[in-house]
Amino acid sequence: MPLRAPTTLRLRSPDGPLRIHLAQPLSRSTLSVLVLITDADPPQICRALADELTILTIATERATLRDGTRLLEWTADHATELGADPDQLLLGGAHAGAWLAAYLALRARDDGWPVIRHQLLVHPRRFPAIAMSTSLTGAPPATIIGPPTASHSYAHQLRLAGVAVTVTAWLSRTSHADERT
Amino acid sequence: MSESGNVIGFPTHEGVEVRHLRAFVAVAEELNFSRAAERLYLSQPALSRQIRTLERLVGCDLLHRTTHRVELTPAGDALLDRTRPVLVSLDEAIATAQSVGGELAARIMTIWAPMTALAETPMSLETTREVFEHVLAQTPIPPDISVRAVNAGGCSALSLGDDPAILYLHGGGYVLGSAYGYRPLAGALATAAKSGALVPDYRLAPEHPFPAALDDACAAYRWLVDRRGDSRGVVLAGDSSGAALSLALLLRLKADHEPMPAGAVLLCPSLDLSGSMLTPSERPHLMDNIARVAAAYLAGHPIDDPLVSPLRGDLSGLPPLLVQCAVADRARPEADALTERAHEQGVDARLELYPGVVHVFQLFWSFLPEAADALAQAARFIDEVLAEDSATADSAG
Repeated sequence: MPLRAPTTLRLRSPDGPLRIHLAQPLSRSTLSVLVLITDADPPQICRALADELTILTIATERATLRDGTRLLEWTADHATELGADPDQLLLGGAHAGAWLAAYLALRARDDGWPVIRHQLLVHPRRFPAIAMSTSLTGAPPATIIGPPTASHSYAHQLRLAGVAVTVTAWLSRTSHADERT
Repeated sequence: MSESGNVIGFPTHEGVEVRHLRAFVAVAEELNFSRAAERLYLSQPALSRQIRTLERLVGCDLLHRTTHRVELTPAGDALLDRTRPVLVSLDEAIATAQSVGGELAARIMTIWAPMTALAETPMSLETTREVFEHVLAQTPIPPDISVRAVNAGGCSALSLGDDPAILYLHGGGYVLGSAYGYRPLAGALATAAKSGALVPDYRLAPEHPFPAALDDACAAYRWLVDRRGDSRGVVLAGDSSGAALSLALLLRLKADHEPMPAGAVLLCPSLDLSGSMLTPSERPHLMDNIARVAAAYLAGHPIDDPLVSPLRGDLSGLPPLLVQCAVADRARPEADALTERAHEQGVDARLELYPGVVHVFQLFWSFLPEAADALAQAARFIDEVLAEDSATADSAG
């Protein structure tokens, strides 16, 4: 689905304004919203996912816990203003942001807010810390995109905890050519 | 007591988190897991997990669970006693911290209050103009900016700062506002851009309907281009209906094959005189006066003329546009539509959204962080388009 013109959102934060990238499918219906934590070419990956999944995608520019938390919480409160459904909130991370997204999804589970419908982990780099220390029971269903080797252990542990997991090599159009090999 | 003192002696006991304490207090007060879970918007298993974690960290049982009821153990009783005030003061501390944000919103509401009152009890145009000027006067003028009256090609104007590169067209629905009243906002933009701004006192409706305002803007633009020696050394800026006037000016320049400026900054553009694009409001709202504004400005002129409804214009060939808007501004669909249309027609158009609901929130740059940030971004854009054009001119020459 074609996308609207590139839009940025600037959020106040203790570290100064955060620049957030928005990619909106040209749809008249209310969309789900994907909060994406990434530092790897955010505008590109943001648009690729919005296009592929027909979902309002809203991405950080840095993969830090602070930025991710700020964006997730702001979006949970203000999704309606962006024309999205706050009850259809997805949380994702790409590259260095993937484990932050996984961690925030668990924290949201523990806090009971916000309700994350699905977690999307794109090309995760590493997971050891959370996978070993925390119960994964009740984590949101996960889609892990990337080479099987890097994601196997976390996918396995999620499954052991009864979480539905899909592992896929790549969504058709979200690839970076150099990383596909 | 010393025992219970010990229990509470570790409020920062490694691993004990505020959410554990909140979970405990909720259960202790409700003496019922499902009600407590509901109160905390938690699932019951998540709540139980938090209580168990707390019990493990504190090192003793806090609750007796039987099939029918939940009771506090003495340790639990002691913990409840001492935890409640801690949570209350924590909540107060957080509320105080957050009210830094709330306080700003309240400050904006106070400044706008006289205008908001007008939405409920419409006054004469003369009173409305006075109130608007009074409201604008509540915002400060940046220090050390010079203000001079100039005659810009027959249009009286204020020159803010030295050697203006910005032509600032003020908002006010074509019927309100003045260069004088806009010294704070235009001055802040000029200061941020390390440039000067020319703010024409274009003629207002209903005394002077379309195309008087556009004619004046055009005269001021030509005068400024002449002064700068190159149209590419000029950037347009405008807020609300001033943004619409900026676009109308660009469309007229294009139609007349006159040289274009380097770019335009459109702050919270208000582009649709029909009012049909505004998101609905529950309470009476100033923007609902759009029909009166439109009647005054159009005075019978067709509303589908792109020079009064720039969203209907062919935007191709326009210079780069920076569009800023508050996420929940009632005119946000107009900012979206403009960016979308410009983008489709090959214009470099960027939309920047800022949290909040306030139309032309940039007015409050002196205390609202989003407003200061927005002006800093606008200044960056101005720098960028002016630099690009001098680079192009250099390589061309």
